[in-house]
Amino acid sequence: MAEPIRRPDQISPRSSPRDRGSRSPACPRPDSTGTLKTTISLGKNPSVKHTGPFYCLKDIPEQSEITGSTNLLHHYGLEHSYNKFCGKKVKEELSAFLPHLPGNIDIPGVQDNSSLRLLIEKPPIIGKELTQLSGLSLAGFRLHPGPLPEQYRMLHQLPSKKKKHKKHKKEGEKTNALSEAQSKFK
Amino acid sequence: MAEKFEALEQQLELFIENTRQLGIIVSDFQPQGQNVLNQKINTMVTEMQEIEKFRPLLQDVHVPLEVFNYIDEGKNPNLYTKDCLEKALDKNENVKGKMDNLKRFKGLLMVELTKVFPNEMNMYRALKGEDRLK
Repeated sequence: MAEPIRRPDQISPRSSPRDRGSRSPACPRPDSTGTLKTTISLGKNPSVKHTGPFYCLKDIPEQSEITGSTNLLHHYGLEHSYNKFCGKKVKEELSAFLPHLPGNIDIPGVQDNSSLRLLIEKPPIIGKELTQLSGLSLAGFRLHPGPLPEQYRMLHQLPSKKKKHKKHKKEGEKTNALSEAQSKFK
Repeated sequence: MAEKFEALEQQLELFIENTRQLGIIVSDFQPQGQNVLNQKINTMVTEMQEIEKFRPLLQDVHVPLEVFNYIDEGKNPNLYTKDCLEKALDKNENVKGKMDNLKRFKGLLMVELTKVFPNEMNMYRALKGEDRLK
């Protein structure tokens, strides 16, 4: 069945590519490598390529410089880092990484609401300007004299073995201080 | 790059030290310490302003979220680095093993196929030889 002959001026960029019989670059050709013994390509330069006598024979992919069998630590210069972190024993506690931080930082952050994850999930209010507090605002920080209750006193102290010995000596003093604090809050 | 981290670290240490001193004043407060307390509170605000100035310099610094899990559990973040390196090495060895075994399998398969289909294997070798030359 003969197709109607089109004049060149009738073929415009706006005409459907299906009318012209060629494939639009917007519709990618599905990969038919290895499914046919020959590959037929149409268009301006039609050609027939023999893919070979073997079914499903694909081309060898290009050799890559880095593969899974390359020693990647050596390739990226990480051998020194590997020996540093994995060669010697790394202390597990956070206080080994941050020895100068006050307080007990080796406990999970969830216990005292100091977890970083919580900071990401519920970010604090930011964007406000930080200004010095006026005399009136500072009036809110006028404190009653005397020691803090026992449960708040240990927060700023560093946990150390030496202090355990001192605790035995100071037990008597603490019970007195506790009873004084309790009397002040009444 | 390292300088801005050092500068931020120093600023944070100053802030932490000021907060620690505030804690000591408050733990056993005396009325004559009120002025010092007020001073320390305003120093805290000043130091927060200084820390805020570092924010634009560190916009492009990316921290993996998984390291936060280690810190929240009270563990050394260097353990995260150690675990990453160990996992990378394990995976590397795993993949290398697979590749070596597949190469070995290919060699054995070629030998056996040549015994059963000698003509086809010659054709195959000729084809592969041409492809390698391209």
